[in-house]
Amino acid sequence: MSTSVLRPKLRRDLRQKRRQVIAVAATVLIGVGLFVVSWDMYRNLQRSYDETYEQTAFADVWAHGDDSVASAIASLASVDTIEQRVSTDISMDLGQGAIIGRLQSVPAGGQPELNQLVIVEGSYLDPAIDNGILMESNTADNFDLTVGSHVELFGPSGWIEGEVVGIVASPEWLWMAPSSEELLADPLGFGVVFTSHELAEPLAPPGSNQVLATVTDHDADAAAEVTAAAFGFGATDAYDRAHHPSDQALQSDVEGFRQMAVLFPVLFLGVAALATSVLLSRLIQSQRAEIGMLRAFGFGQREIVRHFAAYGLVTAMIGGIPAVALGAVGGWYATGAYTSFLSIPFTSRDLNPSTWIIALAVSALMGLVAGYLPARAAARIAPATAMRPLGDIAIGRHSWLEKLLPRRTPSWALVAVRNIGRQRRRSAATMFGVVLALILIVSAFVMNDSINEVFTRQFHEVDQRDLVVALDGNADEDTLGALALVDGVAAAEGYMQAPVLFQSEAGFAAQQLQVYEQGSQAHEFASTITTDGIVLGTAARDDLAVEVGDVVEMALPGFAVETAVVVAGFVDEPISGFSYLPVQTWAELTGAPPPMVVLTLDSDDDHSSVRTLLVEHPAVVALEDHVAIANQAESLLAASRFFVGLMLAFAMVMAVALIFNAMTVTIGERESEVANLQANGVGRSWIRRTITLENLVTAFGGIIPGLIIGRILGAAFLAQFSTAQFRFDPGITTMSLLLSVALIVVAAVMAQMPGLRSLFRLDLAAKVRERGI
Amino acid sequence: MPATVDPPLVALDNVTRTYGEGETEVRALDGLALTIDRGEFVVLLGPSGSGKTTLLNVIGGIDAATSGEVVVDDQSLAGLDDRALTAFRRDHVAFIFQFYNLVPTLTAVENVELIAALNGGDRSDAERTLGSVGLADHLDRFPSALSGGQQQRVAVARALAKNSPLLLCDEPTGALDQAAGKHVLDLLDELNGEMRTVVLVTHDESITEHASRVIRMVDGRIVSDTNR
Ligand SMILES: Nc1ncnc2c1ncn2[C@@H]1O[C@H](COP(=O)(O)OP(=O)(O)OP(=O)(O)O)[C@@H](O)[C@H]1O
Ligand SMILES: [Mg+2]
Repeated sequence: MSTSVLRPKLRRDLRQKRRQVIAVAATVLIGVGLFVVSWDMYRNLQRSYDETYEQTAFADVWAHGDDSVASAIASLASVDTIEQRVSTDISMDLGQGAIIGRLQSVPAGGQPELNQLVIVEGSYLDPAIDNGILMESNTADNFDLTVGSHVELFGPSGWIEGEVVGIVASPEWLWMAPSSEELLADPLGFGVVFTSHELAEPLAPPGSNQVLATVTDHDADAAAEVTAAAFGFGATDAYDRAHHPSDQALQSDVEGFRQMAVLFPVLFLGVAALATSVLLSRLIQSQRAEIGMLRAFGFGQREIVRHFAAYGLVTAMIGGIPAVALGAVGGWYATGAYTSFLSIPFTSRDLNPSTWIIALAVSALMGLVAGYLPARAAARIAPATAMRPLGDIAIGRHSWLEKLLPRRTPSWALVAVRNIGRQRRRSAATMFGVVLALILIVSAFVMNDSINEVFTRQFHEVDQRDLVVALDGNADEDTLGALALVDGVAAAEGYMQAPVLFQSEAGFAAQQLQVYEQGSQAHEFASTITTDGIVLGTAARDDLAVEVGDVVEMALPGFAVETAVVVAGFVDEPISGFSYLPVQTWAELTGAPPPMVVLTLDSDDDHSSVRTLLVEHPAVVALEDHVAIANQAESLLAASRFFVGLMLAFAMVMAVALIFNAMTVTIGERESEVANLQANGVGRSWIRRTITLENLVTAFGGIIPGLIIGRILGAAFLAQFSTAQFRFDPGITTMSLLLSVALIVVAAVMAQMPGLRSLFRLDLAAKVRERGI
Repeated sequence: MPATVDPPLVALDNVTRTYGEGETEVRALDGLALTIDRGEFVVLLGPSGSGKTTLLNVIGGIDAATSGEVVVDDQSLAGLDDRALTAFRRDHVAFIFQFYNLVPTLTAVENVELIAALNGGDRSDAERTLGSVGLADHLDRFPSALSGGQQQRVAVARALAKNSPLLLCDEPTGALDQAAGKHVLDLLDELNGEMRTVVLVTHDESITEHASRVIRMVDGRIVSDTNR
């Protein structure tokens, strides 16, 4: 009814304040748009994974162990289905020289019951074709293999040839992670091959038998119990879905999107709400007399509230509606790009109207809440008072801040400081907005710095391996000497990496053992390796609950070694699932020097030429390029830096939008004041200095809390990406802290420019004639 | 003196309105008693600060008496909550202010329609009313494009459009020149002729010519009350 007559007023008021409205709308747009994109991605990815796992009967539990382990697992009440297969690392040549790859076996006559393969190209194994193999699709892409390609697999009796009959996708290899300790692989240094059980068994070393199991309803707790029980049955390695290398990596991504879907809208809509209420408070302040008039004529409080809350709603929707449209399109394409990058066989990419409804509802709610408080204040204005010709801004007063100033502070500085106390709520809103912007800025820096730090530490400090080669034989003096002579090689040392199982009274730890020479160039040890015992990573320390000097049982399933070892020390490395022995101890345990060599190079730059020389070396049966892995890590870092840059840019928009609104309002209401000053001969620089100082002091009020809260939330956000095997120690460099402050200062200075410019374009004659202050 | 059996339209008894407390207390209205009958044209005179605006506001239900009885159109205003007061204002009174208080972002006709709609009127009512104050050609102008006198006529039209029995005018001609002021007063006379009651605050003695009754106030009290 009567409020509909106010609609043109609303439209015209908003048009008049369009720059501020756009600032709010832009903030809403980014926040809600990012929400829609990340929430859609979260939902679509989660559903794609679920769908893929469902369609391929993805297992719940993996355990290495023999038939007795299999039958013990099968007898557990919660276990539905089990299946056995070979799963082991062997040397293979996929056309780019020998590497260490994963061999997994499937029934020759038809799909396995669990972890079924999706045929992407060609066909499933055909019993009629001898030595037919299936090539995992990421591997096929990396190595340029197609149906009909030939590859070589290395076994005890030498190399055998296999023919690719099909390219397949596997739920286990959506993300190419060889183990929980190795979530990154050199694309040309690792591959996965599926063969029949009959072909695989002779190639596989002892201990390669793996049991797969599903539990009723895929219940995660039941799966964890089965995993724990498997160790008790004698499994040498066991994990559940939550610890499956690929799923673990994917889930931390999904979780990241989910977190972003919460973090972004909270921050951006928070800022938008502040900016809206600043804008509205001022609008209402300047319309006091009109509001009084409306009330005098019989408009109820409710109608006034409705009218002004509508400003918030409309402003929010100006940002919210395009945000949903853009977000939906963005989410659609982003999910598509992401799923095809990961080559997920069953993608579920739906349009999710529920996401749009949530997004619109959240925007609307923000607008209404932000509009409600000032609107309620407007409705409570007593009509008689509202229509008295009052000055509409608070008068100056002495503030406590002032006491901090030196005695002979220039007048422009004094005025600036007093002005902050003049509109306390607005100053507080600005400070709070700075806090929110800083949360985003600092979180971004925390992510950047921590990821940088952890990558640098792992790939450049702790792990200094350049190349690793597997030998046809052992790393005896002669071989090491020969390899050291290869052009570009600085040092060749005996080395080994193999699965290991530790047991203490507290429990089991299935991990990767690495063997280095004492005083090795290839690894920086925080606790030196000696023949006194084993050096454990923090993961094993926690799982086994042991201290230095304790004795643990150690089993090397591939080498028929079971022995007790003393815990000689601990290392706290970003990848916490490695444990370390010296070469000499290895030789004593297995009766021979290790079958691998780690090489450090004169320069990382020529790793590919050294690599070529080495693969042709007669002693070498496989090569692992750690320079390439470090480069892979480097390219992931670049992606994360891009993301961090985006967050910083968004944070700037957010900060500028809010400070712009607050400043425009502040400057707007001082128009006649400033016009009077100018008319009396006060220079522009005085005015500019006063306003800039006021602005900066206000912004600085938010800086300290912003830095602290940002640091805490950034760490919490990052913690989502930490796993038991790969841990981030959240941190931020001083440089980044300074940069954060600098960005806020830049935002504050940028945000006041339009207001100042309009101030200097004032029609002085018109302004000084105006009624009131 | 018109002998009437009707109850008075406005009846104030012992009305006091104070602002502030203790040292700074101001008695804007001080034990004031007053009745106004339907169809009267009352002019309120008095020095600045004597309580004229306060009296008008109390009668119109936009300010509340601190103590005393205020009855308007058979409705006692004492102790009414905001909702009831809003309903009262909606149905019983219309205001004309010195500074017009038009909504600057609404056109002339929209300003009138806004208020007309409160009592079920629509745009055509608003157009007709603006026509009756001689602004038929200025319907779509924004207030900033109207002269002061024109703006005040829009305000009069707005009050007219409400069709309420009581018209409260606070210095409606205070910001206008003689000719523009006369135009507004003639309109008020016309309304009064239609049996609407007008209470008008002014500093301008000459306006008493239009009045059926002149009340003078000093310090929150009535010091003279004459019918003409
Ligand atoms: N909200 C208020 N707070 C404090 N004092 C007030 C308030 N409103 C009015 N007064 C005081 O009440 C007294 C009466 O004011 P009122 O506005 O009614 O006077 P008036 O007769 O209308 O004067 P004028 O002719 O100047 O408009 C004055 O002394 C004024 O200062
Ligand atoms: Mg007055």
